[in-house]
Amino acid sequence: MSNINHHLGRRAFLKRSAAFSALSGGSFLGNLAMMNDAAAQTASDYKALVCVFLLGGNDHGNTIVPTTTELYDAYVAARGGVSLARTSLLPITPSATAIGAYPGPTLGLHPSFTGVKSLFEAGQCAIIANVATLMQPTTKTQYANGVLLPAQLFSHSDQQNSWQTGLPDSPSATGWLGRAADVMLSQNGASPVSMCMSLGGNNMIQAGANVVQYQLTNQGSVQIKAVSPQDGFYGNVANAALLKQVIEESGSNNLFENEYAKIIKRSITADSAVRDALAGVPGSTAAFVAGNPLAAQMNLVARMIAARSALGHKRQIFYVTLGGFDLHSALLNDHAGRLGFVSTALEAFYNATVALGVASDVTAFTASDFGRALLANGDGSDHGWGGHHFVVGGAVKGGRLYGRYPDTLLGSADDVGEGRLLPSASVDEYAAVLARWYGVTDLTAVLPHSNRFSNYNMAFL
Amino acid sequence: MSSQIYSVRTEHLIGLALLMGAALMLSIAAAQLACPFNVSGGSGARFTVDGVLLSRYASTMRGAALSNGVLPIGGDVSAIETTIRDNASRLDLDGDRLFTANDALIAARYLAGYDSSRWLLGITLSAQATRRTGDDIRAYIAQGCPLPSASAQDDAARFLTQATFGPTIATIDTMVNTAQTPAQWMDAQLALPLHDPSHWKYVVIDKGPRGNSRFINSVMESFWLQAVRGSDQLRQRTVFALSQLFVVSTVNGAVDIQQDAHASYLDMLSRNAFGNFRTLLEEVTLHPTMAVYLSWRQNEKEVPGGRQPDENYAREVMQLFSIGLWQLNIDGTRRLDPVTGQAIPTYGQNDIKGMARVLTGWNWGQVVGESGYDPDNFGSPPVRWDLLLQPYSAHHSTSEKRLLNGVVIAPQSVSNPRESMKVALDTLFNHPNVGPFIGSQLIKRFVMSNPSPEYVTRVAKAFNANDSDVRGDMKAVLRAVLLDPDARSNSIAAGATAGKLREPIVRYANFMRAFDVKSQAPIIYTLWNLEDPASSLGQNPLRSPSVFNWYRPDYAPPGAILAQALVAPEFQITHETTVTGYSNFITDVAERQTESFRTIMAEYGLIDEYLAADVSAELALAGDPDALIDRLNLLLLHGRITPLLRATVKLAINNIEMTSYRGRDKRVATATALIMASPQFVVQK
Repeated sequence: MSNINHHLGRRAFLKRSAAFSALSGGSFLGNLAMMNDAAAQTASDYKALVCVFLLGGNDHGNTIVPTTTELYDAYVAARGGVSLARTSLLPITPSATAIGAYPGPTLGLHPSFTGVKSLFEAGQCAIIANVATLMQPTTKTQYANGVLLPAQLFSHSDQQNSWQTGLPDSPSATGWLGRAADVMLSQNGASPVSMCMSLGGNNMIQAGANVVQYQLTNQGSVQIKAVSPQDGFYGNVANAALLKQVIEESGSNNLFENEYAKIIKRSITADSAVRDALAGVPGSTAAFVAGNPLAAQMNLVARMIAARSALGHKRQIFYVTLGGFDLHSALLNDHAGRLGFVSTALEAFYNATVALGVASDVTAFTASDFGRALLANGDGSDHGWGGHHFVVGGAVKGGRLYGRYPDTLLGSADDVGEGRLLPSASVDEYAAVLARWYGVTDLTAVLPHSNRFSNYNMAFL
Repeated sequence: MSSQIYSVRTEHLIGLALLMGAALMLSIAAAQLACPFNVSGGSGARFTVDGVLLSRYASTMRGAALSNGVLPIGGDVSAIETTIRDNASRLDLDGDRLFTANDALIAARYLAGYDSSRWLLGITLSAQATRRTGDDIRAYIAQGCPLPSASAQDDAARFLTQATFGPTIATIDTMVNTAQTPAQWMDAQLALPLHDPSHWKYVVIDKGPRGNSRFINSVMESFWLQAVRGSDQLRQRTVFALSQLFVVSTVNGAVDIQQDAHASYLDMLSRNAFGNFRTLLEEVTLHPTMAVYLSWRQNEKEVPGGRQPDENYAREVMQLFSIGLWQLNIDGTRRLDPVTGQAIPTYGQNDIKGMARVLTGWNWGQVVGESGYDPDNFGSPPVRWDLLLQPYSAHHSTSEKRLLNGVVIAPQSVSNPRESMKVALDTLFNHPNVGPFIGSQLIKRFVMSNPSPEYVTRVAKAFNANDSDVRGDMKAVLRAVLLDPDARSNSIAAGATAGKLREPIVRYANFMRAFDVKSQAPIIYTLWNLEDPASSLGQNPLRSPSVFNWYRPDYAPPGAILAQALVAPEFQITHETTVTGYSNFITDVAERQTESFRTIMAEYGLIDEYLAADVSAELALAGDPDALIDRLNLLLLHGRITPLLRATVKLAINNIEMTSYRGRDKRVATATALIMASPQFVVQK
């Protein structure tokens, strides 16, 4: 029986391949779709998480703006020259969640967020309001008294680290995506390529106790040319083997030499696997608009998803980044550009997962150092705490706002000063939903503090 | 493992087999002996176990082949391989810097109880062997097989590796031939005048040696010119270290294409490198490039209940440039609250607000008397990248400014921005954190990633008071960093956690200095982009990704280093992509900068900007692999090449026929690239 089905499946596949090349000349999304047919025969129960980290602290104040007269006027009063015109905002109407109708004010998205708006309205994007690092549910009074707060609030490096480790009070050797990968490690069998793949450099969030993150470029893996047994080291094949030996084995007792050699060895091993796996996957495409550094990374993420079978991956975790959010100045202009990149990259990526037939198996989510103060400092905004985030994917119960939209009036119970938001949801709560969806059942292994929080209205997956 | 690393002479194996046939069960009492013969870890070194293991290892047997019949089945043979590998330098009994079958046979005969007069029977020693008689070797064993002591050349090369952009034969020779100590070398360097041309002259006035250098590229050219060719190497390396502490970067829209800004900023660091930290901190703060980069230029005083002063620089000047986040002991460890046992933050949000008010009412500097000077024009005075900011009193906050440690600037009845700035910077400068905070980071830039608390203490004390009891004397701090016993110790350098990863920029600078890489006249370094992580260094001067530098001083890569609570900052930019990029880069430049490539470039008329190495001295040694390796070992590894790496490089050299096409070039390039790609070079010790 399986033979017959396999046979038919293959014939259909070939037929469709021919149709695609004839009709489209091999469009990227079309080709990705064919790849997926090939993959679907072997892979089942596939899931991927994509962390989109906005480096520098996203200005949530201009990302989502309340549009009731009272709140909008207060927003303009606080922001002055860096406020957005009400008519330029993209209105959204969050649908009811399981606990009832959306109770907050009417909202508008930043005018650059056209792609996010359409994903939201189509139900593939959810907003998680006012989330950031917390040690426990915290009131303004507790904050004022310094009761059990994350270490070094408002500091870039520390808050990035706390977001990524999920442990805001203590040094940690691992991050919560890395720990989730540790739990799910057996899913990928003996794949030579790590479950945790980064296009944004070394990071804490993907550091596991057992999983070692792997770095990719926008084009895939990279090859040390001179160790190639085909080309040789300056044309000398025997010396290519000697070079490989020298760089893969430090031959030393020095810890740093050994670590360096280990990275080289990992690079050489994974490179050949990744190159082989990507060989059958179409390259970059116009669907991911050129000149958008985030889209360029997500293009490769889509290709690695398409190559999941060849990689032996049933679970994948990606880390991509976009910098330039630390907008103490030039906020209006620069933020529009950054958010435009985010919006078009997320939309293109979602469409790619649809074409691959894995839209419901891939969830992308944003994270950032912190939110920013509402009160302007001239032509920018300063470091804050809570901020709003976005989750995109076919499994997302989208078109809704989760958590609680804050009271944005200066001096409110949600304001710890200059419009810096006291988070109403913690990273733990946000991460717990993502980790559980990914397949983690014992949440405390991944998010040791998650049981301190009530998981109030966070069922976005 | 390669099967070709160690040359094996079969007659020695036969001799060994005969010895084994004698089946002597003699075990040597190892009372006062410390030679690492007991590689099996048994109760003592034994001929029938350790002698056999050494001989088999030297004849390239590994795994089961190494341990068969010697170790119990299931014994840990890989641990034995590691032990022998790590002790190969000391097991080099004949002193030819290789551990070979000769050494193994001598060890076996020694362990079997033979008289030293018979140890060398039938053995042909290599020409490089320094212990050529049984007596010499017996004396070496009696000393416990010490590591070869570093020569004066090696010591000079190691010091210059830490203190400069890389040793050259000339700088090594100068130190050795004049018996100059590191302290004397520093005295001479500290007295040198500023580099001529300055960055400003190169970039703004001359526009490079041909008058046509433009854009931000011209600052990159000037950076490399000074780094590679400047005789004021200590200042050059110090400026590079300071530029990683007080970061400005072209990866920022406000100063991305402003070559004047970056030339002026580097000159400011240069003129303060050997001055006082208080002045350095003030000039960093008031320099327009920093003020634009961290958005505090032209900050307006607050509007009560409305717009607040920008907190960007207020935060980073404390977090990154002076005191750091946590209160420190003088040894660099965190102070703990005696009641709660928790680390204590140095400042809070209110201190930042106070500092932000200090940083209001400053804008471009102007020269009194110049046209356009108008002290009341805060809105748009002329742009002056070459002048420190100046205050515009009407725009400075006169309200109370609460700073850290209870320092309060009272409300000013007459706006006094200079006084506010003085109090604020004095408060930071006099904070007890500065010595350990800045000192430990300078140690990490020059010497090692994980200094001992005692080392940090010594440097911090030098910061707190020089010989004349002056605080913040950078000369005293630099002396303390580079002359410290921990920095100079060769035994510490041999430790498992010693040293630091060389910054990629420094690796390339090392190469260019070692081989005098330059273009034909006029000398110009058109190195504009070395940033691509996949094919280049993944690190370019002036292009840190943010004010947090390429790496944080406390970064530790997850894994063995983090598990030991150690740090390795440069590993933050070291991953699968960048190690590949560097390996490709260094194999490329080692080849492209050789003589034959220069000829090719000349044929194509591309010679004037082409960066070529002068490897004539190395080419002259291409026919003598040992001498070639000796020279590269001194220049690149300050004489500490391991026997394994030496053997491999030698093998690779010999794999290239001298008479083959570009054979000599390829021998030199191969040896150079192998060493520079090796983990041993990448980690500076």
